[in-house]
Amino acid sequence: MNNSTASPTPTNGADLADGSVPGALPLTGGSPGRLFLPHALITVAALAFMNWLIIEHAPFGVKQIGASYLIAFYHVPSAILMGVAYTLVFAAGIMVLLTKSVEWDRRARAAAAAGLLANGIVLVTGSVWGKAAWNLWWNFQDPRLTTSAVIFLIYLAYFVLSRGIEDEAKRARICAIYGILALLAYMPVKYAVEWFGQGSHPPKVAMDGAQIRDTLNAGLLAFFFLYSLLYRWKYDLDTLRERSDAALARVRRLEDSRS
Amino acid sequence: MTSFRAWRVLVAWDFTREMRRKNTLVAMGMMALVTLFVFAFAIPTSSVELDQSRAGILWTTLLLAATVGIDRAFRADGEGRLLEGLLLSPVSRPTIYHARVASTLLFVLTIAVPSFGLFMLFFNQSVSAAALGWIALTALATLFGFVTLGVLLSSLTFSVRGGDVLLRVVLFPLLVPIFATAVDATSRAFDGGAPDARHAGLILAFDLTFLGAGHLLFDHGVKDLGPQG
Repeated sequence: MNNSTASPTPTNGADLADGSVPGALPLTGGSPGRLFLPHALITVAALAFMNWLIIEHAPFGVKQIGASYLIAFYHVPSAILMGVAYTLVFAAGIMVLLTKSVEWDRRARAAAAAGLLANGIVLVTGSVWGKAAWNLWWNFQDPRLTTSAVIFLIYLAYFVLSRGIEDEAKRARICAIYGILALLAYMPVKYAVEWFGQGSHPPKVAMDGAQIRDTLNAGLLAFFFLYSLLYRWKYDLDTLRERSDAALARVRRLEDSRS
Repeated sequence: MTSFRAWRVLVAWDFTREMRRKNTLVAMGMMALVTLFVFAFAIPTSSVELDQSRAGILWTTLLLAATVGIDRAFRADGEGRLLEGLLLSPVSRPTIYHARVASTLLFVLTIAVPSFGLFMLFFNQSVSAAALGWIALTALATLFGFVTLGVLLSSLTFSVRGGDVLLRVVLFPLLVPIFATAVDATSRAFDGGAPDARHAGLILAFDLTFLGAGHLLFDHGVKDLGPQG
C-alpha cells in the first residue's frame, strides 16, 4: 500500500487530480484495505489470548493494590503505545516539513487517531482503577491521570485543527507544526510528573514477577495489533476519501471544460 | 542592517503602532475587567474559597485577556498583507518572529500590570514586597512562554477560515502545563512562600522549548505568504 508517488498520472490527456500537491493521490492504483481482514482476525485472537492469560496465568492479586492491578494489563500497554503513536505524529510532522508531501500528513493523522484511542483507554482504565482504589472516578490530585487528560485534549485539538483547514497542502503543513509542538509540550509534562511525584499512581514495583511480565508482554503485542489496525483503517479511509475527492474535482473540471 | 537592529526597529514599530491604534488594547482591558467582575460576583471576597482560588482567578483573567492580544498578533496586519510585506524585506524570518514575540509580550504586559492591580483591589488582597516580586517574576516567565507559543500558533491560524476559534482550540490545551505550574507557584507566593526550583525549571523549560520551536518553525508557518510560498 504505497501511495507516495509524487504526482498523479494523467490519463487520456486530461488534467491532473491534484498535481500541485506533492504526495497527492493517483486516482487509481495502490490497494487500501489489503490484508485488513487477516490483520483484524490476528488482533481479535491476540486480545483473546491476552484475556485468557489475565484470567488463567496472571496472579489474582499483588501486594499494595490487590486485584485492582489486573486493569494494568490494559492500561500499561496502552500508555506505552500512546507514547509511540504520538512520537510517530511528531516524526511524520518533521517528514511533512522536509518533503512537503501530504502522504506523511495522512500517516500523521492515522498515528494521532491510534494515539487518541490508546489515550482514551489509558484514561478510562485509569479512572476505573481510581474507583476501585480511591472510590473516586476521577482525582485531579493524581498528576499522571491529569496529565494524560491534558495530553488527550492536546491531540483532540489536533483533529479539530485538521478538520478546520480545507486546503490539503496548508493543512499538512500546519498540522505538522502542531504535531511537533504537541510532543514538545508532552515532554515537560512527562518530566513534571517525575518531579512533582507519583501522586496516587501505583509504583512499578507492584508489577514484578514472571507471570505478570508474560501477560504484560502479551498485552503489549495484542494492543500493538489493535492500534496498528486503527492506524491502517484511518490511513486507508483518508486515502480513499482524498482519492474520491480528487476524482470528483476532476469530473467537475472536465464538465466545466465541455460546457 | 544587523539582525539585532532590525529586531529593535520591528519591536518599536509594532508596539508603537498598536499603542496608537488602541482597539486591541481596549478589547484586552475589557476582557480582563469582565472576567474579574464575573469572579467577584461568583466568589465572595472575604471567604476561604477565595484564598484557595485567588491564583486561579488571576491567571484565568490574564489568560483570557492575553489571548485577545495573541489573536491580533497577525490578524491586525490587514489579512496578512503587512506580514507579506515584511517577508519580502531582507529581514530574516526568525528575526520577524522574535520581534513579534517581544512586541506582543510588551503589549500583554501593558494589560497584565493594571489587571493585577484591579485584581488586588476587587478582591481586597495585600501581599508583601517579596511575594509581589515572586508573582511578578512568575508572571513574566509564564507570559513569555505563552507569547512564544501563541505568536507561532497565531501565525499558523490567522489565514485560515475561523482561525480565531481554531487558535483558542489549539492554544489552550498546550498551555495547560505552564499555566497549572504558574497557578501553583503564584498560590505559594500569595501564601508567603517562594516558588521552588521545580516550578522555575518547568516554566523555563517551556519557555526555551517553545522559543526554540518558534525560531525553527515560524518560517514553515508563513511559507504560503512569503516570496518562496
